[in-house]
Amino acid sequence: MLIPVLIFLVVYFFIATELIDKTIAALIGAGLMIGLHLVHYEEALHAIDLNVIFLLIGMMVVVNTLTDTGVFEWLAIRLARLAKGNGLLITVFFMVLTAVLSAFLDNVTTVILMAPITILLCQLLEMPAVPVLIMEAVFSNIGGTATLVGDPPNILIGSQTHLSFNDFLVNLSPPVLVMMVLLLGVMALLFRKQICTTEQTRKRIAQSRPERAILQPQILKKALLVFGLILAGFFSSRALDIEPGIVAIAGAMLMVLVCKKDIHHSLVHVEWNTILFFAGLFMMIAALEHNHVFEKMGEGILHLCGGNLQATVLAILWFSAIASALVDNIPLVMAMIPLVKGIIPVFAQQMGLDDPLLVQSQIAEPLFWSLALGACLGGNGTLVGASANVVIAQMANRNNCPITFWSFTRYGFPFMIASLVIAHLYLYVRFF
Amino acid sequence: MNVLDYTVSLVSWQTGLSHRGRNEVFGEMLDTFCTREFLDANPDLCKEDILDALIHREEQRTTAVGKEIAFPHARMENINRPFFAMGIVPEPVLFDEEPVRIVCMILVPASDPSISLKIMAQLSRKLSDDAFRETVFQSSDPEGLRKLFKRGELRMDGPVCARDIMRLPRWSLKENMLISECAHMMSRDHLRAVPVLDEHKRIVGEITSEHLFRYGLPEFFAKLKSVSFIAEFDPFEKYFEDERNIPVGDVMERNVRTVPLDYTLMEIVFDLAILRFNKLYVTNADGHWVGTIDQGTVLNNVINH
Repeated sequence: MLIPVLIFLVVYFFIATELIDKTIAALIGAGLMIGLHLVHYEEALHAIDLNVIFLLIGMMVVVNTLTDTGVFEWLAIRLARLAKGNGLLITVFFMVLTAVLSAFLDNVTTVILMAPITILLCQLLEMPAVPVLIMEAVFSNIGGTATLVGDPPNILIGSQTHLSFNDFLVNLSPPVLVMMVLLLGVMALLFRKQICTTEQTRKRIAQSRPERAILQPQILKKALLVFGLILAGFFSSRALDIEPGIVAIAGAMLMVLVCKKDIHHSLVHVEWNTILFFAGLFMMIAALEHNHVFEKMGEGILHLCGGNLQATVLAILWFSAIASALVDNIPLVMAMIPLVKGIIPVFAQQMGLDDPLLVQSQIAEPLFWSLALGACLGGNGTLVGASANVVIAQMANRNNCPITFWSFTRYGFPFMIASLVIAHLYLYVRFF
Repeated sequence: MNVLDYTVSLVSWQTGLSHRGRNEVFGEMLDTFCTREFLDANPDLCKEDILDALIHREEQRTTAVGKEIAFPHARMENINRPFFAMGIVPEPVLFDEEPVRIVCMILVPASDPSISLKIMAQLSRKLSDDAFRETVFQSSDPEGLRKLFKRGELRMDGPVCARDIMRLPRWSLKENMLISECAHMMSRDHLRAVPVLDEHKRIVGEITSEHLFRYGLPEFFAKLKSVSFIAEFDPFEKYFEDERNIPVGDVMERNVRTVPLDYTLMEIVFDLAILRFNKLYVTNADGHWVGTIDQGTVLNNVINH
C-alpha cells in the first residue's frame, strides 16, 4: 500500500508546485502505477470515467462554437449599456454574468471570455481593472459551484455518484444564491469609491454598438438552439436515464453539424492536455483503490470525527476547502470520492439504515454536497487555489494590471471564509 | 553547359556604353547585339520587341541585384536559343534607384526559361569577387572583357542555390536601438521585416511590422473576437507611446532562419512555403549576414523567368 501512496504524493507534489506540467506528472504517475503492477491495466483503463471525459470535450466544443460568434462580447456590452455606464452597476452585472456563465461553462473558460472584454471596458470607463478582475475570478468559482457542469469537482462527483444535474441545481444553487447576494453587497461596499465613472466615459458606453459584436448571427441562432437542447438534456438526464457526458458530446457534435463548423477546427481547440490529465488521475486513483488506501483513510476519518456524521460532513467541507485553496482541487476530489463512498456504509450500519433511498438522502448527499461546496469554494482562498484565478492573474499581468498572490488573497480569502460560513450554515440547517 | 555557349562572338561583350538611362542602355546594347546574322537566325524577332520585353520585365521588379550588377532578361516566343550579352557602363545607371555598371542581358526561349537562372547563378558567383568585379569595371575593349571570363569557371551543372538568388544586405538594426527608431526606419523604407545584428554582424533576431503592432497593443486585444462594438475610443496612441522606448533586443523574434550560401532552391522554397518563414538570412562560413531571400525574391527569380 505504501508504494502507490508514495507515487500519488510525489505526483501531487509536482502538480501542486507546477515543477512539472500537471498532465505529464499525472500520466507518468499512471504509467508507474500500471508498470509496477500496482493495478491491472484493464482495471486502470476501466477507471477512466468516459462520462467526465465526454462532458469536458463536449462543453469545450460548445464554448468554442459560441465564442466564435461574438455572443459573449455582445452580452458584456449590452450589460454595460443597461447599467448606463455606471461603474459600480457594471461591476455587479459583470459578476452576475460571470457567475451565471460559469454555472454552465468551465470556470477557466468563463474568465478567459470575460477578462479581455472587462479590461477593454475598464479602459473605456477609465476605472481600475484589477479589483473587477479579482472579483470575476471569485464569482466564477462561486457560480461554478451551483451546477453539475459548473466546476470539475462537481462533474467528478456527479459522474461517480447517483446525483443528477437537477440534484446539484436544487441542492447547491440556494446557498450559492445567498452567497451571491451577500458577497455582491460586500463587494459594492468595498469597491464603490474605486469603480466610479465620469459623465464623459459613460458617454462612450452610450455610443457603443452592441449589434456589431455579433459576428455570425445565423450560426449564433443555431448554436443557441442546440445549446438550449443540451441544457434540456441535462435537466432531463435523470428522467431519460442518459448520462450528462453523452448529452454534452452528442449535443456538441449536433452543434458542429448544424452550424456547419469544421470538425477538425473544433477538435483542435479542445484542451487535450486537460483531458489527458483527467485520464492519468483516474488511473492513479484506480491504483489507490485497488490497494485499499481509501478504506484505511476512511477508517481514519471516522475515528477522528468520532463516528459523528455531522462532524464528518463539516470536516469534509472545511478540509476540502482549505486543501483546495492551497492545491489543485481535481486530484483532491478524485481521491475524496472513493473515500466518501467508503464511509457511507459504515454510517448506514451505525444509524441502522437499510433503505438505499434513505442512505442516499441522509448520509451520501450531505457528505457529497459538503465535498462539492468545499472543493469549489475553497478555490477562492488563494491565487493558486483555482485555475481560473491563475489564468485571470496571468492575463491581468500581461496587460499592465498586476495581480499578485497577496493582492488576490487579500480579497479572495475573506470571501472564501464568508462563503464557507454560509455553506456551513446551509448544510447544518438542511441536513441536521 | 557553359555561359559562354550563349554569347555571340564579340558583340556579346560591350564596354564603354555611353547612354545614361536604363532603357537607353538596353537600346544601345541591342543595337550592337542584333546583327544581321542574329536577325536572320530569328526572322520573327525585331529589336523593338526585345526592348519592350526587357522594359516590361524591369517594370515588374528591378533586376538589379546590388554591387552595381543587373540581370535584365526576357522570355521570347520566337527566339531560337538562349543568348547572353554583357555591357559595361562607365558611370552608374539607375535601375529603380539602384546604381548599375554591369548589365548582364539574357534572352531565353519561352520553352526553356530556367536557363536564365543558371546563367545568372554562374555570373553572380563569378562577379561576387570584389577584385574581379573591379577588373571588369576597368575593361576598356570587348576582347579584354571576354578574356576575363574563362570557360572552365562558368559551368552551369550544379543546382541553383541561395548565393545565386539572394539579395545583398541592406537594412539592419542593432539590439540597443529603440523600437521607435526601428518603426521610423521601417515606415520610411516600407519594410516588413528587418534583421537585428550583433557587433560581429551576426544575425541575432528579426523585427517584423506585425511584431511591432502586436507589441504596441495590449495582449487582451488578441483575445477579443471583435472591437467594432466600440464607437468612440482611441487609446492606441497611448499604447504605442508606452512602448516606444523599449530596445529592439527586448522585442525581436529570436527564431530566425539563417541558411548557408549553398542552400538549394528546393530547400529555400520548402522553408518559405511550408515552414512559413518570412525571410531566410543567408550567412557565410563565419556566420556573417551576406544576403536575404524572401518569397518575392524567389518569385522574381524563379517564377517570373
